Amino acid sequence: MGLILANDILMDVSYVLVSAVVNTTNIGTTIDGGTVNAVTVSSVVGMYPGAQIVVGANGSGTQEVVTIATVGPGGFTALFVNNHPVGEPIFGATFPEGQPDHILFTQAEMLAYLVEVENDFLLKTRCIYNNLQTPLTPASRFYAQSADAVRLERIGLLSSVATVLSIQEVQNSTQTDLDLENSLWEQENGPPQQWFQDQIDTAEYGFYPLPIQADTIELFYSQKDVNLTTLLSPLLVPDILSHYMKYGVLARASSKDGEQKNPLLTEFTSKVYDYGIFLTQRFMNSTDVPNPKEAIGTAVFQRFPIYKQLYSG
Amino acid sequence: MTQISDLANLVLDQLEEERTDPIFWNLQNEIYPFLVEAMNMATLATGEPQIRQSVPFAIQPGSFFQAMPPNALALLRMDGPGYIRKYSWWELDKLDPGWESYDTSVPSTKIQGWFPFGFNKFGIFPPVVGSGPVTVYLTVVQFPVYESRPYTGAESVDYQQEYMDALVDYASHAARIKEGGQELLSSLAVLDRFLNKMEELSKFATRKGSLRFTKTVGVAAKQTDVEQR
Repeated sequence: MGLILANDILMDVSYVLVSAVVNTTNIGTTIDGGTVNAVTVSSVVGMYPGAQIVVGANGSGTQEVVTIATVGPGGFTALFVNNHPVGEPIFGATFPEGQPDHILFTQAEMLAYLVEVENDFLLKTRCIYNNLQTPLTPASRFYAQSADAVRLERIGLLSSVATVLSIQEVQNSTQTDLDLENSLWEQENGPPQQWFQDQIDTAEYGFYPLPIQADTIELFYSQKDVNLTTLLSPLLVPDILSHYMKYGVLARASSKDGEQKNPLLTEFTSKVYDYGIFLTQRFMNSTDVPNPKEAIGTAVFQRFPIYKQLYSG
Repeated sequence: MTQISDLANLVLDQLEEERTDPIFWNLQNEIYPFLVEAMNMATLATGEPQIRQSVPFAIQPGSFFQAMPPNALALLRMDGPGYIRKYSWWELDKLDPGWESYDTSVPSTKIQGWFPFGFNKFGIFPPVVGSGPVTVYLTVVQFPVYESRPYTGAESVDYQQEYMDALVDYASHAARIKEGGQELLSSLAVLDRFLNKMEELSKFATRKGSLRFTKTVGVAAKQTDVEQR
């Protein structure tokens, strides 16, 4: 997990959209946790009832998201969980334009765009991997992928004899191959030798032969982000790639119907986002980071033609 | 060492903004992040900076998989003591199908090889068994900046002087996305300058060591259609 949070990306997006952000400081008194506080701030720009804002510095143990209940000329009220001293920063991408009845963007909408974009990036680059050991159920052939799995990359079968632990690769195959090799393969039982994902339900995998004991398998899979749920959620993509999430969100925000529709911004940010995917894939291929059976690539950086197209156009 | 606050002034100059109190752009929340974005893109494009980490990395015993150092994007080399060979897990499966076997009762501190496992982890084999920490030195492609937002301006710029104008170019281009329209389109010429400089940096990095992006060595295996998908 990196240091860049969802709110950081959405604040970056706000600045490009010339949308006001909350960026102020508690100048009143200490905030008490577990109760509603009236907080005096140096500016209420970007605040409105219902807006979620971040209180506390990034990296501090008491940082939290609070929902504004009321806003006055010099401050706001909200229910707090943690204590906060005077002087702590208060900030957030609230997208206040048009509140309350001609809203351009909602925070939930923008966070949803960010989730979409990050998982699209993780799908296209498969740059984050996980390994997981899980038990098999006797007499059960099919299993669901882990909820955070983009794609299964490898399965191994664990075994132990006395103090020796061993994991043996289970071969990746297809039911079509198995059908052609042995039409009665479904009648065989034993430790899994092959696994497949074709002609079964979405995001499932199956084994040949049918497991008959509670063996443990090890899964290698590329991962997606299932924990990006609040403004304080860290991104699963490394920090160094996080700015491409900004461009992906901008591409979505600027392509929706309404006053903020901006075809040039959509086209440009879409291309920058695509370029980020291209650069990441190239970097991964050059350093053997992806699933190695697919590695290709060159070491010397070359320009991607999209910029040229946009420039000359 | 140059800091991003030093380059920020040059970015503001290009944007015709006041250095002391910019109006249309926020120094801390826009200009500084644009400069970090420029460095991030330079790293992705060229694989620089490469850092042999000065603090030895402690291998977690009893596990093939280790978390990458949090400020590292890709592992390039491992040593300690001596060069530790790089593999891929696919290659290991073909070369030695029992590579994931080890005796948990026999102390083992000799790492035979390592392999990449996404940007977030890497693997070693065999796992370390027994008491006492086993440490290695990692050479990595490191994040140019690994700090929480907002940036302070004191973040250092770890590129040679002759490439820093490119970072200013990129940041000033990124800033003009906010202006949109003709300003954005005209900034593409500035972006083009940045990309030209990145080509030069990439050539320089390749000259320093053309094998810095090393391919693994091992069997030349033919892949099945299923493996290829």
